[in-house]
Amino acid sequence: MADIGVPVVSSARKPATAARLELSPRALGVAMNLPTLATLTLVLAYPIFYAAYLSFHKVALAELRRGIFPFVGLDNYRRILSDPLFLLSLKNTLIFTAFSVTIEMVLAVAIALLIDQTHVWTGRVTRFLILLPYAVPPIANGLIWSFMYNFDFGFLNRILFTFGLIHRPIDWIGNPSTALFALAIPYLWRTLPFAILLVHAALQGISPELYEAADIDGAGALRRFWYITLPLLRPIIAVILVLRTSFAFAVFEEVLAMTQGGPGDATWVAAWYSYKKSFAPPFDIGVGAASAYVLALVVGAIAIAYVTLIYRRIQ
Amino acid sequence: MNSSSSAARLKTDGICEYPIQWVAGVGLEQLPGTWYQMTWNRGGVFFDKAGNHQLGEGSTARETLKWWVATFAQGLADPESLRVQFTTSAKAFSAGKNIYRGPNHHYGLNIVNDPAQSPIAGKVKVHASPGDGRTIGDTHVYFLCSANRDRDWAWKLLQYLGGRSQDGRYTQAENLARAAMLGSGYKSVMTSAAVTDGWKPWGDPDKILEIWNNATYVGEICNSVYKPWHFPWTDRLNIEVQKALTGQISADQCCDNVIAAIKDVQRS
Amino acid sequence: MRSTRASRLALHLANGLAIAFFLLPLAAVVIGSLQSEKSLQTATRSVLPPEWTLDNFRVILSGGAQKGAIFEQTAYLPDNVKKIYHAVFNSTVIAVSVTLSTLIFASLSAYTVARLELRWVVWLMNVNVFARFVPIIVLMIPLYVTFRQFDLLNSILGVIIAMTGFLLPYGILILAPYFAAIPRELEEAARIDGCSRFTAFLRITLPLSTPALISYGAIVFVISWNDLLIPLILNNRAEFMTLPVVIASLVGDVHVFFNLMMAICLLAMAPSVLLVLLMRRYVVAGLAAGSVKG
Repeated sequence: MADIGVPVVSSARKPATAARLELSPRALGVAMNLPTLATLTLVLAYPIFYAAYLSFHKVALAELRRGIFPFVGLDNYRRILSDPLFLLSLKNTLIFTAFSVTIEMVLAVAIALLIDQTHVWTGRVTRFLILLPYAVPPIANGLIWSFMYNFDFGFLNRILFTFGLIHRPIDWIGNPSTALFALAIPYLWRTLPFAILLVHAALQGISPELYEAADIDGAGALRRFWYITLPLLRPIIAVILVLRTSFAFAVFEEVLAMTQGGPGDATWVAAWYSYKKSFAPPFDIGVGAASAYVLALVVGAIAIAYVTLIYRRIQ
Repeated sequence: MNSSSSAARLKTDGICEYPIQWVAGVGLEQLPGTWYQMTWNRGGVFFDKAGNHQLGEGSTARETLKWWVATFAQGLADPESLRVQFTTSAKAFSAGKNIYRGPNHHYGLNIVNDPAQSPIAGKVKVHASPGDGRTIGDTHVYFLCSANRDRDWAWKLLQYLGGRSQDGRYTQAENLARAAMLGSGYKSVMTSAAVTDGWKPWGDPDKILEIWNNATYVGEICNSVYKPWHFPWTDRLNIEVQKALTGQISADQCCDNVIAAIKDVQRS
Repeated sequence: MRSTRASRLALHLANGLAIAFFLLPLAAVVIGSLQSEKSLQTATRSVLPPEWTLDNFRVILSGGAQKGAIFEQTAYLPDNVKKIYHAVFNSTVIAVSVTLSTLIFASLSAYTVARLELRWVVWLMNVNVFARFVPIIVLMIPLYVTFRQFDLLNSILGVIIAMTGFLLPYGILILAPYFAAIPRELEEAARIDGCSRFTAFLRITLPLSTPALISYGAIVFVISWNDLLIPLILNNRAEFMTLPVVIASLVGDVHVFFNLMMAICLLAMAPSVLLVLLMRRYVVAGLAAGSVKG
């Protein structure tokens, strides 16, 4: 489709040559977005609506084979909301998220401040290593920590024995009261780089004059941090908190690799519940979809909070 | 049961921290199998012939669970038990920190007594279960499904796995017996040299075969294995029993939950 | 900034702790992969094994052919270990394809957001901001059913499509501002010379955006190389497994070989770790720019 003539141009300067064979901005916009639109529709838009559809129907192995999904209204939702395991999964997810995001935030600020001290050479080593956790596949991370946490011959217990810090092995993930928190450590280890980078970038934006003024006033390092750095970091901390919270809600790989929900039901989290219901016998995809949808709605609420409170402000 | 008191003494004498290692990891046969076996050994079943559960107050299954929970509460059971399945429990046992390994498949012996794999090779002996030695067993059957995509090849595979080769022997079955210590449904294999000689490096073949003769098919103890809801019910059972073993709920509560789960899973 | 000896010492100590924290799992996987299970169980209190062995790698890299001393007696090796080269091939094909497709699609779309003032395109951008928050599991369940109907299960193409869709929003979010920051005059100059908008995009915008494209490309490669859920759910046949799926299958396996698992993990993470460490600057820029998926 050719549109000959002067195309719409937003800059003040009009092109000297008038005629040119090219698509109008509108047509170009459509053409260039075609691949993205097609993919996003198939992979993002359609599934979100289809998941809702599935959650209102009975979709188990038999129905999948037959291709007919009978409508069951709110039955799936009623089932999961009356399933103590689902409610426990939501609760576990909340605890896991709160714990891991908090620790991650504290560590991120601490390490970002640390690597900002460029006059120590060890800081450069730390800087080099920061991206390492980001590159490790989550499932491999889970397995490696599972190996480290092993009760009988795990790496962690070995180190503690060697330093004489313990005399009996510690049961990290076999103990139901510690399992969820033990899961959080590898998770935050893996996601820490992202938070550190954001805080570090924000730190660069703080003008050194502010610190110099505080120096002159005789403020110590701690006061400088509390009264200057921290308040100026607040926006980025808010961003990180919201982003990390929504992603932590969807934790899966570490649970699969390390505890598979155990011991007992101590580490059943929301995504694990949906996965087990859908892809393990009896393959009840309707229930799985309903539970995943509830999770998505919770995360969606957080996303809306992010956009309205923070994103717009940054823009 | 004898092992409990001797285990308690082993602990107080300081010989070992956790005398018993159970197979209590989540699975279809792992944790449930341990409970089934111990219950049967004491003369109980999980469901009667009519399909009614036998997990109520005072039942053998419940009492067995109470005893089992006590071994954890008294610190006799290795905490790692909750995370191990068959092979992993054999490997954990090879570290030499436990004395007893709970009722288990016999073929863990080819790991714990293998010098190439185990630091305690040669020191592990197999025991019959307490009392009259009653235990459970199962034989896996190969079968050809009617919805098979390629029947000719599937039939060839079936013949290879379960059939006789040209010399008249069940060669593959004997190979598996020799290499992996797997028993077979064929009596001729069980009495062949593959077992009577092949198993000697790992355990006492005569003893194992004797134990075998005392074994009952697991479906007689827990006939829910024939029902489609057995799978999701076992999922729930795993969760509840692990909660009981870690002291989060009592054995009574666990059994009540497991009973309630039967109705739950039958609904879907 | 004042720097006393004491403060420098304190900083060295703090850095030491941070370095140890980051290296801990790496140390575990390296040491774990270089020992046999027997040595693992023999000395359960010492950090270093009594004897080292390369047999774990030998077994994997020979596809199970060379069992080495420690696996001599082992009758059963996980099937998926034998298919490790298939997995490497699949992972590579998928990661490369996804990187290329997302780069192409995202740049095209980002250009429209940056330069063409169309209302619906701005709306597309807003959708992208939300899109990143959707938990994968919500998408995978219906995607499974859909792909099943379209016979896209158990195919490399299905995985590529799904991953591309999942990683596109992020690309548009970091490329669009980058494109927008390029002075319009450069493109206008090209257009005066007779280029169409699209040609200006190809000749001016893209070459000038190479850093951003490399950043995004590196990040997409790492994420698609490491991803588990999508190939796990969409494929269940051994020939379509990727490295993470092979690792996940070892978790559920009845026979577990810890040191073999560690060796496979090390092999699986080597490419992405190397890429990230070599392209550090680009990855950092990309992550900081988008304030996105960690």
